[in-house]
Amino acid sequence: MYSSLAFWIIMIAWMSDVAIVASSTSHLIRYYEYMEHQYRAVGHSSLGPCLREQNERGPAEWVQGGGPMYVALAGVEGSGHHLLAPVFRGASDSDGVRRKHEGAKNTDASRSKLPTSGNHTRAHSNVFVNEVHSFMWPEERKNLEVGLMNPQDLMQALWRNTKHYSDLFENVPPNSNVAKDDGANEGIKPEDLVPHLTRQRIRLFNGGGSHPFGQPRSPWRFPDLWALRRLEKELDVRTVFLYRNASAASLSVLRRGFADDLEFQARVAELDLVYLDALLRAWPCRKVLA
Amino acid sequence: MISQLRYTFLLKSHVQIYLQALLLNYDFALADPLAAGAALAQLVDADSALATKLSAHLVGAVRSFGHSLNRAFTPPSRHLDNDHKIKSASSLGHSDIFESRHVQEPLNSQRRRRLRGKQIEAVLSHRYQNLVKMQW
Repeated sequence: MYSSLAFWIIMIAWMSDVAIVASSTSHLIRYYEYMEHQYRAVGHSSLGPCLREQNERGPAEWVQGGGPMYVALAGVEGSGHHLLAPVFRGASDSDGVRRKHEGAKNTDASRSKLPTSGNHTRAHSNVFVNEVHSFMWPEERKNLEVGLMNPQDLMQALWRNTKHYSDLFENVPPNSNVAKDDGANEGIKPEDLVPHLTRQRIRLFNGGGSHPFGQPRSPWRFPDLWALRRLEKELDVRTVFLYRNASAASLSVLRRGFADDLEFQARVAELDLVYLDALLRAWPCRKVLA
Repeated sequence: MISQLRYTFLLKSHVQIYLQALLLNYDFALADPLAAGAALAQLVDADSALATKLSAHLVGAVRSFGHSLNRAFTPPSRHLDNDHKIKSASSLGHSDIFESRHVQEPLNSQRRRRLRGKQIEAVLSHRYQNLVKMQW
């Protein structure tokens, strides 16, 4: 009888496992298909060992207490940024960009300082932002007196520009002002906000920032991903490296009118592709989902 | 080999690591947005609801991109009828492509655009031949 009971206990335990697995089966199956494709595509390359290591170790985990997750895009212009931006926007609970335009007007009340007491409750889990300028080449962020090599300054610059404080904390009014360094206006000081933000479990999907980005055309006009990586202690930075046939990407840029000179765009894309390739190879193997 | 990978994956899926970057192929995302969405979900450690959202929106984005894909290799004529652009391409050492006899033939504008599109594609492909190989 005991052996029969043990059998059923094992069976029930097994079936419960099956039920749990079944609930996420479709995503897992699709993920396996992706891994299979990648094995065929890059298994022969220098990323092959990374792929094998990841298959042995399993999928990613967002470590509890690791801080907000910041999801950034990287890739030569024309390789799919405009494809993924609406995906990030649609998957988010809140749209920081839309709020910037449609939110409440700045009033005296909205310029209140961050409450020093009480619980700062997170309002959203996933927020869409379109923010690149705070980690661009210095020339592009000339209005920001931040030090590129100082993670804390860079962190403050990121929050200063994302304009979604009310998405992060329920008790921060929409479109609250952020105090300028010279004290020209009153508002929330980034340094007061950062310590609270770093404890929040929230994903920030950044839908902007190709290589290169915007105008004028320049091979070094792109988000500085090395600078972003320096925020590892404050943020859980995750990057989507988009890749596409470089010819098709350059043609896409020409077709949409972002560039009007074939040779110039070709050389810009070439330089940025070399940079991105070196960047990805320098990433720790265990941290690249090949 | 793939089956072995899957088996290993299932066996050791309880071992977690801290992934920070995803390599996402544009063409693969267009061909199989659900699989690409699942990979995105793994990158951001998404729960079932967020994973579903990511995949669904990627499917929607791919559908909306469908119309533009058809003309991906057909740049607007304003790029192609520009003398400076042809000079630029010529400086790459491929002037023969733009001076081929096909271009001299009386073609309707649509056919001419497509032909010039293929020529530009040929120029870029030649230039990027090694880069494409290098690209993971």
